[in-house]
Amino acid sequence: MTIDRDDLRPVTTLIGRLFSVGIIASALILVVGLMMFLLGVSGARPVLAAGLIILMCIPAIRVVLAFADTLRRRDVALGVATFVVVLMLGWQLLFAGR
Amino acid sequence: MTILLATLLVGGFAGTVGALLGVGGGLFLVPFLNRVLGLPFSVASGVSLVTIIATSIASSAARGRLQVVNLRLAMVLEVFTVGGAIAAISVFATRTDEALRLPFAWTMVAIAVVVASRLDRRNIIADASIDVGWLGGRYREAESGGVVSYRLKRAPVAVVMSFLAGVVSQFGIGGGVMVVPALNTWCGVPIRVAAATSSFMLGVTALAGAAHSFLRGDVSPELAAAAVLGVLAGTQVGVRLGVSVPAKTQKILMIGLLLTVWVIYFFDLKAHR
Repeated sequence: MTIDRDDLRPVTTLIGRLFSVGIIASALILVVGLMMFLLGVSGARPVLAAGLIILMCIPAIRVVLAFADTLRRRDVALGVATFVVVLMLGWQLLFAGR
Repeated sequence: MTILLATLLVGGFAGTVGALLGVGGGLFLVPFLNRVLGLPFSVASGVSLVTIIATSIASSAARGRLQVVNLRLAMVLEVFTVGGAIAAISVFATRTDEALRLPFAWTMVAIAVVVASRLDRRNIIADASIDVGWLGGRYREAESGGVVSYRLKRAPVAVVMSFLAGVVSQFGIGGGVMVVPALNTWCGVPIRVAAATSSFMLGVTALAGAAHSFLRGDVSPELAAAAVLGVLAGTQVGVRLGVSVPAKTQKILMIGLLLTVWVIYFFDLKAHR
């Protein structure tokens, strides 16, 4: 099967699914955590933190997916661009808060 | 309870405006959390950065929205927005650098004037078969119902404005207030595409600062959760409005938003530290 180097539709579809599933998962966990917090149930904060971490992971996964897609399509220019973003985010996440 | 409800409502408003105009919505959340609730600026901007990620994902996930996003342009410009964000985190340890406040405020006025001067000018080309170049694109326009094309012009302007957007994003605002007008007025990108592409990019741009704030303990989980849930609801409204609101109206709203930002950042606006 030949790969169209300029066809971004497959990765667009994949990113759309990632966003839809990720945002629903994050929102559900945040609703549960917020209810626990309002009802004074212990352990609310870790649940809320989990929802926020899932939310923050979505754009990170999206960049990695986009980079993997550039490898699949052998798109050197976009591959370099997304790899630089992956490197910068990776560096920032590893050293964030220190 | 009252604070959480108020945060939810302000988050809803921020999400509506953010999704409609491609900005992060932090423009309203940061002043609310910092000035109204009296939270430290670091906490206000931390919560705001997390909600910008939510706005970005929710608006991009809406039906048909990703088809309008110029994915290739977004991937290229993200190098500069993320670079600007990380540079800002490294340089501005306090993230409330007063020296940037006034230039930023006046930049908003300058951009508003440029947008106003080109209010009736459209960037679309009715011919769907033309060569749009590497960073141009095509999309189905709601107003005409047909597929239209556009080409990217003045790429260096887009690069510089994206870097600056990354820098200002670390103040807790999305940076879309710089990217959307720049792409639309100088770079030949239709307002709908500029807003959708900016929204798409903002999540990654805000991630660097959001993670930094989260790990430093600057993100209050319950406030962030309330703001995010408000934003998610507001985003649905903003995306629906974005489809039906004419391009000219969207530009007028953008001018109003830019002038609001000028008012916020010019008059008082020294953040509580």
